[in-house]
Amino acid sequence: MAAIDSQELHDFLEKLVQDYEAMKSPILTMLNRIQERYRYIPVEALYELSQMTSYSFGDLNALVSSFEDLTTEPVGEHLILVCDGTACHAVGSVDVIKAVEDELGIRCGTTSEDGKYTLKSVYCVGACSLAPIAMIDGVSFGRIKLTKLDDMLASLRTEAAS
Amino acid sequence: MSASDILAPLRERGWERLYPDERIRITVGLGTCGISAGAQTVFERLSARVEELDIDADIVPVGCAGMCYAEPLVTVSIPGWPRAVYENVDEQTCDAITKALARSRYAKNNRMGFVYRDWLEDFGTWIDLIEMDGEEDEEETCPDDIARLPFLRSQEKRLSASWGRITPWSVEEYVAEGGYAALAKALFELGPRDMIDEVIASGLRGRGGAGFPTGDKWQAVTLEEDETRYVIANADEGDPGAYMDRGLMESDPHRLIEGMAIAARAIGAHYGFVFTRAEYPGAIRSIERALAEAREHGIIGKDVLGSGWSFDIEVVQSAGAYICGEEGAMLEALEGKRPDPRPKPPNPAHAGFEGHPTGLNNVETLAIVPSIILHGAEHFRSCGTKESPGTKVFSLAGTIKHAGLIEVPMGTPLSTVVEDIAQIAKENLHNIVFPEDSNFSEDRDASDGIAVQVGGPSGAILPLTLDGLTLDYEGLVDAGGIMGSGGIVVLGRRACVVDTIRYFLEFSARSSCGRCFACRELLAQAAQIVGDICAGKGYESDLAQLEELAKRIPRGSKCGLGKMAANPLTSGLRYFRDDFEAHLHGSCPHLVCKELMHFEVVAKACPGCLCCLPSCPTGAIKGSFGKPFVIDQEKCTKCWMCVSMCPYPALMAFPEPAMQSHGSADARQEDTPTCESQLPEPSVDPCIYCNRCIDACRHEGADILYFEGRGRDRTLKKATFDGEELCMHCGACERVCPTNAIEAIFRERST
Ligand SMILES: Cc1cc2nc3c(=O)[nH]c(=O)nc-3n(C[C@H](O)[C@H](O)[C@H](O)COP(=O)(O)O)c2cc1C
Ligand code: SF4
Ligand code: SF4
Ligand code: SF4
Ligand code: FES
Repeated sequence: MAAIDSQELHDFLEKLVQDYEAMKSPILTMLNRIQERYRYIPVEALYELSQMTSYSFGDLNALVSSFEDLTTEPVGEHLILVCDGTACHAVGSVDVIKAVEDELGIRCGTTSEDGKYTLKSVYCVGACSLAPIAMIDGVSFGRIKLTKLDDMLASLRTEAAS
Repeated sequence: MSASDILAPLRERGWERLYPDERIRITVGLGTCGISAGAQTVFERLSARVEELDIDADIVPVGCAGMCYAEPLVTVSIPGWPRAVYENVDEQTCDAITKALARSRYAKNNRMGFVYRDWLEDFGTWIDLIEMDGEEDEEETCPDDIARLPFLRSQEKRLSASWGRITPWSVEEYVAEGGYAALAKALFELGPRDMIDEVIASGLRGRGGAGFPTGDKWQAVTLEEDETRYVIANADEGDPGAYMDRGLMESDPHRLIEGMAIAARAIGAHYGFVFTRAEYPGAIRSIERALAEAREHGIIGKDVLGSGWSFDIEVVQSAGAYICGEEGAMLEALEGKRPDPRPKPPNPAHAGFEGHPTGLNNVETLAIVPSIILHGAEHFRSCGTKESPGTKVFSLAGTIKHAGLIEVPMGTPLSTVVEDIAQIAKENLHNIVFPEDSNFSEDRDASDGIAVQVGGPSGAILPLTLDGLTLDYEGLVDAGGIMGSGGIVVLGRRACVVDTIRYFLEFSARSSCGRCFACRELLAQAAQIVGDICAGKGYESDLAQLEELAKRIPRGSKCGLGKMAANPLTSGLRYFRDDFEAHLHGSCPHLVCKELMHFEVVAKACPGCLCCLPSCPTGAIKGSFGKPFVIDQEKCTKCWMCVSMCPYPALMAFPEPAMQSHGSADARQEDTPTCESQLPEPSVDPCIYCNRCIDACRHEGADILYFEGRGRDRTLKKATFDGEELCMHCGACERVCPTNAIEAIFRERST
């Protein structure tokens, strides 16, 4: 993981605090923005935020550890989410997860060593009618067939090759 | 500017967009369901073709019409003609549609039928159309009327009438549909008292789960002295397998905004929050855009519709925590604290966001309000039951033909929804051998479905054959569940009830905040026992123990999560005992639990075609071309890949043969010391989660103590930065701790 430029982080956070000053409950939005920008939440960021705002360092740590999407470990460049909600589970999402694990060679919930992919299971992306479903970098793929997984992951692979 | 100065021109422009005189209007459903089925490509293809063929048409994005099973869904209206609906549109269909349109015709490919509503002179409503269908002689005049489809016939679209018809964020189209008229009425004709009385008279009950009367909640807020008040829309649809709130926000966000504004006016709030899930990016975009349009036209903001009254809304995006759906936890999260449910009382109505009185309602509850204000309580009560009036949106998923969002009157029989609307789908079971034992299949031969799950982790699992079950608050409580948010998942023959129960118990145990003993420890125990049963390590005595746990979990839990978490288990034990017994005897009747099933090649049927060979990731399939293959059971990981490749009834899934179950009563206790699967030991942390140390630490100025982890993993931690301890060792935490836990926790960890 590339070291974080503290000055840059500081400027980013300062702008963030300014941008959301008018909000009455900006904290989750700010944490989401930090996660988007750095692909994880550096502890430095929490510490600085606690200095800039009225949120305590303890509370911020508690918040980050309470939400599945917020991590203090960097996630991969490509985020692959396989839905394991009730509807997807009922039609075999466990087998889909297993097949993707085999394809990418990583376990669900982890990031590949080269930092390219993170594979996670999530609870329902709200498209249960098209179960089983997966999301790759925010694009959703419905009605996944085990035999057609290759097509779904193809876009990732061509990119990785180039 | 008065309200009509603002709304009249909007209505006119919206009308022109919805029913253009000269131009063709083509809509493409671009909800999450549509996009997952490929609607974005369809949208682009249609745009390209329309330009190429020089057709006078607008291609507009719309939300979800509820017919998710038919996505991508396209509708086309030629001026003066009824609207044609096309299902499962692909690029060829796009070409056919545009080709026909170039000659001012409707294409036939993939055409589901026509919607006559837009075509009727008086622009009647969907409801009129369905009524019209009842009269035999009218049928002639409306060929291919889609309102006659079984999927739509029993529905009553009131709340969801505009879904999938209008551009979600377009304030013009919403106003043309009659939107913001209720807000104008609320601002200029009614006082807050009138509104609350109307909502009380309507009998509206919260759609977020428990069905608490909405009017009473609002009234409680107004009785508080504190003048700073808030409204919050609970859009944190956490039930994994439910998606009506997503549908609503993606397809008709202005209705939620209007409902929130009316609620705010009634309870005296000037600020609102929409708290929603990160998993719903489409809904967030839709509502943010709708808010921007509403602000631009003076419908939200400092001077709402020229009344001088101010109201604004902030959208807060969560980041993946089911417990945030619980109102107290949501308020904590909004305040930037660990999302733990708050002790009640006080309810949010008395002390909500930052301690101020807060009206907190589900998205759907709020979206129903405009129609009650506009059409009155009587109209709302004109369908549904006495105790549960009105309609309810349900989401349908699972092994059915018609997955999607439906709206039916409260009190509709479950059988109508499952058999007429959803319709059980045939599954591809050609290479599965179900147990011969008729015990397992007796009740299930009639249909291919076996069970239906209503209400997610707090709901019940019910047999499809349950007589007389109606979908309303009381009906579902009688059956052993709750309405929850209204997600209905039909489990087919390839779904295992016991595995589904394990899934829900694990889900709840993982989501538990971990404060109550029963919710933290007993729920984890129940999950472990059901997990053991799925893995073939169950004991006869387990069922009795599960029953005991199912009783004790709700008793010892403070919030709705723990109180309801045992519902899937209780109902499962009540209705599906056979399935539990089968697992205890070593076989999973639905071939889901991997330890209790296996694959085999039936030698007679296998010509040795090789199809299965490359699909096996572990090389477990052995043999050579032209001869029957065999599977190395040691290597097989039961991934099902080969089964989908085999073109013959050769590679088959079999349940393990039934056998003697493990041990008698108390066998688990006796075995436990040596058994590899032990029940989780209750946590030895002496901490009682009283939070006193955290407060003391804050008081001393360090403010570094916090709780991390959910359920059984909940532990007290000291925040560190750069490996540096920020602890001042002032000892304040130790002094206030009533159980001497601090010392135990941190000493244990440092050694
Ligand atoms: C664990 C848990 C999860 C909940 N999830 C939701 C949810 O996703 N959406 C919702 O509207 N209410 C949810 N609720 C209910 C809320 O706490 C609250 O009662 C509801 O939002 C009130 O709105 P209503 O009166 O309109 O029903 C949940 C409750 C619990 C205990
Ligand atoms: S019941 Fe469970 S989630 Fe609710 S407060 Fe208790 S421990 Fe927390
Ligand atoms: S695909 Fe079926 S028929 Fe062909 S070799 Fe495999 S088991 Fe035999
Ligand atoms: S004061 Fe003691 S019992 Fe209370 S939360 Fe802190 S460690 Fe736990
Ligand atoms: S359960 Fe997978 S999208 Fe809802």
